[in-house]
Amino acid sequence: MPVFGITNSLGAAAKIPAKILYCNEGDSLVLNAKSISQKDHHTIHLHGTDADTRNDGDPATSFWLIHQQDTTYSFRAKYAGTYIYHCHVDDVVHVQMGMYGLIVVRAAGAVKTAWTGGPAYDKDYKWLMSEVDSVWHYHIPPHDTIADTTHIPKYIPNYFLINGECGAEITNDDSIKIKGAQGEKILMRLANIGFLTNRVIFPSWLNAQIIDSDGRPLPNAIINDTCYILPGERYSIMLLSNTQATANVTVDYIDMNTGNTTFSNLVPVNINGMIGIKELGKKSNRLSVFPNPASQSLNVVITGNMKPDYIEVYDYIGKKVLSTPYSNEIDITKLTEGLYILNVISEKEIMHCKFIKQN
Amino acid sequence: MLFINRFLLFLFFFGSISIATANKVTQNLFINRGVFTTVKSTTFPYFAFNSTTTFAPLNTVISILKTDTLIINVTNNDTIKHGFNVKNYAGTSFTINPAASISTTIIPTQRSVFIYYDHLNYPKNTYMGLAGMISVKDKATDIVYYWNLKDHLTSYNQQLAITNATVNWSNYYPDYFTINGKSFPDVQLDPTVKINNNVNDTIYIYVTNTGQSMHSLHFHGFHPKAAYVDCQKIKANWVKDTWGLFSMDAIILKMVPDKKGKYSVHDHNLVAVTGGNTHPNGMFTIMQIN
Ligand SMILES: [Cu+2]
Ligand SMILES: [Cu+2]
Repeated sequence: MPVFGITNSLGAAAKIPAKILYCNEGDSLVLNAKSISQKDHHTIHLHGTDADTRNDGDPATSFWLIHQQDTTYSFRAKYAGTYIYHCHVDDVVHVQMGMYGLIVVRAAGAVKTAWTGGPAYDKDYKWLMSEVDSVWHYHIPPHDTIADTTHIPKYIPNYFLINGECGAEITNDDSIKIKGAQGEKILMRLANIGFLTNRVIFPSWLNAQIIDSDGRPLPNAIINDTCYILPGERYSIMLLSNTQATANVTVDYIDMNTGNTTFSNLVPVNINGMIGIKELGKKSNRLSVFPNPASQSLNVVITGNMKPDYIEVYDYIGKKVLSTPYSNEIDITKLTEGLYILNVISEKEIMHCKFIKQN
Repeated sequence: MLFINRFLLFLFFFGSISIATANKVTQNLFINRGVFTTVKSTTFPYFAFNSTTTFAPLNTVISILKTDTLIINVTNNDTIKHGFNVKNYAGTSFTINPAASISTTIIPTQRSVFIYYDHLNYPKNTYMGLAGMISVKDKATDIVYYWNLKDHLTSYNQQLAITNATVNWSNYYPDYFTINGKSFPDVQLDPTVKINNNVNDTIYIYVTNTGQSMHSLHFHGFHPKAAYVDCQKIKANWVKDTWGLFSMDAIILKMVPDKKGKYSVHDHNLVAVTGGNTHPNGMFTIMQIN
């Protein structure tokens, strides 16, 4: 069916959604954008990045691109998390036509933590939910250039998508269906760019914890198998299975006016085997601490050739509680009881490990 | 040491006295029946709680301080029986016959937001417009905005204006979306909606969703923090750019802009950025940060 899209090269076929853009916390992301639309104007809105007016891609407050016009959009990725980019011109139409994709801001140095100093994960999945009303695609609502308005038809979606896929496409897609091992920490990055509400329900044995939303850590992680995601929202959910099993994750698409569930996608989960020892041997540098639990001081041991500069300690929700030049013994008397993440930072690398403070 | 203790005791009593002098605020409300005019100049029947017997399509926003005691007197100026209730505030539920009045008292404890509404035949009377906001401020000098989100379907208003009539809510598909009874661009003329402030100002946005639909408020430029939540308690102190609000949710969002410019706020159910199926109307406002 006809779509509008955002691609990475001239002449590439438009796909729903556009490619995921990656950067790391602290980076500046610069997008070189060119419109080759022939007809409609377009922008790229950096949804959730708190870009300034110039870079916001919102035609109500800033400029749009006409055919053959180009520009750059940029923002400073201050917070790790999941974001969306999409066209904001005639947004109800251009988003429906497919002009959207995810932006994933990883922790500094691309460390596998939800945010810098945040909970660690072994692998992550990115699910961007949306819907398609094919009537809109075959009869694109025309823009009245004099009134600068668009008359839109009733929205009756007939395809319910995860990463642009539905049905058997989902159950055959290794980047969507969840595969892991017992004890493996799996980060689910969930986002909704559709016009319905999503309700994502995980099997209880995956021990789902909602840890961040819209690129900010939650004040407290929430233990809940069910997560509602309204249009434009993003959530990160940490899964940690204590068993080996198979089941489905239910992704509901709920009509925002009636509350009725319009459609449900079932995504297979397969937790098989236990996380292997081999994971530990991967890095040439290794970090460990003792005693653990500790009460007064913590000894930091690094094997390998890392030249550590400083140490940072974060609490479990990602708040920095200690920052000190590197030393092989640190004073933790001031920390309250609980689980902490210790980062050892060098010019080239960040290593992290957990410890428990006990009084 | 003794002197210091006495001094503290003095401070303690002094503090108590200032609380005891709390202001009494009386708010009269009248249940009126009238006509709502949309951004496209079409009309449909509507009810509202107004501060006089003259109908206005916007429910009175009751604004008090956290140290105030609020007395609400409600008079039924309509020809049928109505109700009054303050959501999540015990002992405030009443039935009011035509021409009758009731009185109720609210004693707040903190910066907060409540929905007052007609709970009879729920959601019918609420849907027809009888739902408004009580805003409790911390200080008189607080910078406060009031956003009451609402959705409407012309044919349902026409049908429900008839006494004892019903509609099938499982077919509800609203065609007008408003903030304080106004759609974009009219909403830009409402100084209680359109944010116009400076960098580093502390701005409180009191938001209620008195519509039937869920609404997803997306902020460009900033991540407001939940300073108070009436229903989704778990979201206290969350920091988000997109706030999902279920029907009858109330929340206070705190925002301290760190940069100047113009920034949109809109429902990210983009179908709700419409009025009479025309885009862009509906739930959409542009903030000005100087
Ligand atoms: Cu576009
Ligand atoms: Cu957006």
